[in-house]
Parts: sequence; structure tokens; C-alpha cells
Amino acid sequence: MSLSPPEPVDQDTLVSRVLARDPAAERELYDRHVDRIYRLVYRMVGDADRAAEYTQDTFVRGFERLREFRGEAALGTWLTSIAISVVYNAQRKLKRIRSREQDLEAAETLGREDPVPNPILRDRLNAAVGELPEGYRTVFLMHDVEGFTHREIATALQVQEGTSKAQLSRARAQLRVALADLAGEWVT
Amino acid sequence: MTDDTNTENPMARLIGEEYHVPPPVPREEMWTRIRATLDAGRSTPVVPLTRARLRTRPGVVIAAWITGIAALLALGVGIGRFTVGDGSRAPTTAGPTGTGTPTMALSAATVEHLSRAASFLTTFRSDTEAEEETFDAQARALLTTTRLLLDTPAGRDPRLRSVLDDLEFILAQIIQIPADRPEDRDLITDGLETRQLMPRLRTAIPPGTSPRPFGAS
Repeated sequence: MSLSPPEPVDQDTLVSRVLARDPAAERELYDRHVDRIYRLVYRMVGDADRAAEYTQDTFVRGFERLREFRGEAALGTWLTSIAISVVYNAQRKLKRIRSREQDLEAAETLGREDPVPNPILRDRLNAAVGELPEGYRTVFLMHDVEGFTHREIATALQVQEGTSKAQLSRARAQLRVALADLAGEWVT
Repeated sequence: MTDDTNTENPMARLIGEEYHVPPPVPREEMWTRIRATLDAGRSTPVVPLTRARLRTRPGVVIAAWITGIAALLALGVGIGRFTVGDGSRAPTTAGPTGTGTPTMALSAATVEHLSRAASFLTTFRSDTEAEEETFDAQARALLTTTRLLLDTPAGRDPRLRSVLDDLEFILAQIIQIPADRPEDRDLITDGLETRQLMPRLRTAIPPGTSPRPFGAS
């Protein structure tokens, strides 16, 4: 699958125009890639405000660093790697903040029973995907959900294609185990 | 292993239909804020936050940047004060987001400043390789301007004041990062997230507003 729709202007020309600060070219670059970047970011964070913020950060960084783009990968893949970096950094910070907040909450809720697990399908899926290791989850969402190829994933994550394939295989296996009792939902 | 096809994977298809399903892409809203952030970073010769560029002509470029924004704000603040008096006789006059009639100049200066701050903080939290001294001069200039704005009608608008107060706090923290404790940056970026300063800053920049040289018609 290609990262970009059919291009009336080739990538190199577009990059040159953006570097020359052509506003129309900047907008065209944004329009070409924003949907896929936003969709991936949203899949990773599951929150519209944060997805918009991280997508904005991705493009701001992309425009600021475009001179560093060497054209060795597709521009969309390069932007995807920035987006993943932005999301990872932000998620780690959020995790630290939440763990501190949970420490406080744990002290306040000590002795209470755990809530009954929610049997709703979406919650089960969210939990199963959420429990995947970060790398597995990213590869699974990119490949199986958003349709990136292993080559694109490998370039964006700076890993070997074999690593991408292996992580996807492990992610699927872990999900099958976690969702075994829901197999009827997808096994006909 | 696996190949590049996932159409035969019903589990993945189900997850794709249920897990974090993206809403319509808010293209225009995001572009407006990206455009404002980019323009803020370009309208004056801001020092790019990389070591190599900083070493090129740090004094000249930083001085130009500080001079530019100081002139901008001095004019904006001056006009704002001239227009509303000393504040004690015009307590209901609000800033750009308030109910009063703000001066165009002060409004433009405020938007310009917020856009610069958003651009600076975006780079601060993402450029983990930059040295602290790289940020110091810009943070000081932004802090000075923030404090100037807090003393104008813009600072009397409750929502804007809240943003400026938090911005002042974060900038003061950035300036105080000890050179031997770069890990303190994480605490500051944690603070950015906790206070949700970035989305609040961007929201405070009116949609469709693009910073421009002060006094431009």
C-alpha cells in the first residue's frame, strides 16, 4: 500500500517548494499525509484532543526538520516515524503522571474490591490491545488495522522487516489467547 | 511469520472496527494551529534549537529576536495602556477574548506571543538533544513578555490570565534547570502535560489568526 495518494506534483518538487516556504506547497504536503498520520495517532492514543495535538506536533516538527529529509524513504514514512516518536514520548510522560496519580489513589482506595470486569466486546478488545507490549501494539495497529506494509513499518520504526513480521506474529498470538473466549465473534 | 495481507484476518478486522475508531479528521482546525505555530517561528529570526546553528551566531540572532519581540510588546502594551488608562478606572475592559473592545495592537501582540510560546514549547519538549543553554535565552525573552502581558488588559481576562500564569510558571522552571541535571526537563514536560498548557495555548490563539509583523494593516 502506498503512503500517498496519486501525486500531481512529485515528492522532490513538493519538498523543494516547501523548503522555499511556498504556503500552497506546505498545505499540499499537509493534505497529502494528514489523514493517515491522524488515523494512526488516534489508533495509538484513542483520544481526539490528544490525537490532534500530537498530529500538530508531528507536522510542526516535520516542517521544521524537512531539511534533514534525505528522500531515502517516502515522505509519508518519514512523517510517520516522527508521529510515532511524538506519541511514544507523550505516552511515556502521561504514564509517569498517571502512575503518580494512581499511587495517590491506591492509598485512598485501599481495601476496596476491584471493579467487576466489563463484558462488553469493545472493552475486551481495548483491554487486550492495550495490554500488548508497546512495540507489538504499534506494529499490530500499523499493519493489521491501518494497512501499513512491513517495509513501511520497518522504515518508520527503524527496525528490520523481519522484526516487524515477528512482532506482528507475537501480537496476534497474544491477542488470540487474550480473546480466546470471543473466538465466536470472528470464527464463522 | 506473516505476509503483507490482513484481509483474511477476521480478528484484526473486528479490532479495526472497534478499537480506537478515528473520528473525522479535524483538518482545518489542526492546520490553523500548525500554520500559526510555523508563522510564529518564522516571522522573526528565531534561533533554531540545534547546537550547530546556535554556535553560528548566537549573540546576533538571539539579540535580534529579543529586540524584535521587546519592540513588539512595548508598542502593544503601550497602546493598550494608553487606550484603557491605568486600569483602575476601566476595570471591565477585557483583553482579546474578553467582552470589551481590545486594541488591535494589543490583541495582535498577544496572539503573536502565544504563537511564539507554543512554537518554543513544542520544540522544548520534542528536541531532547538540545543543550539547556539553547533554551535559556528564548525562555527568558518569552518570560519577560509574558509578565508584560500579565500587566496589560489581556492579563485581566480570566481565561487568558490562567494561560499566561501557567506559561510564566513553566518558563521560569525552564530557566532554572540546573546544567548538571538535564533530567529535570522531564519534570517540566510532565508539568506541561498536567496543566494541558499546549492545547490551552493553541486554543487561546483565535482560529484563522496568523501572526504578522506588528503594525501591519
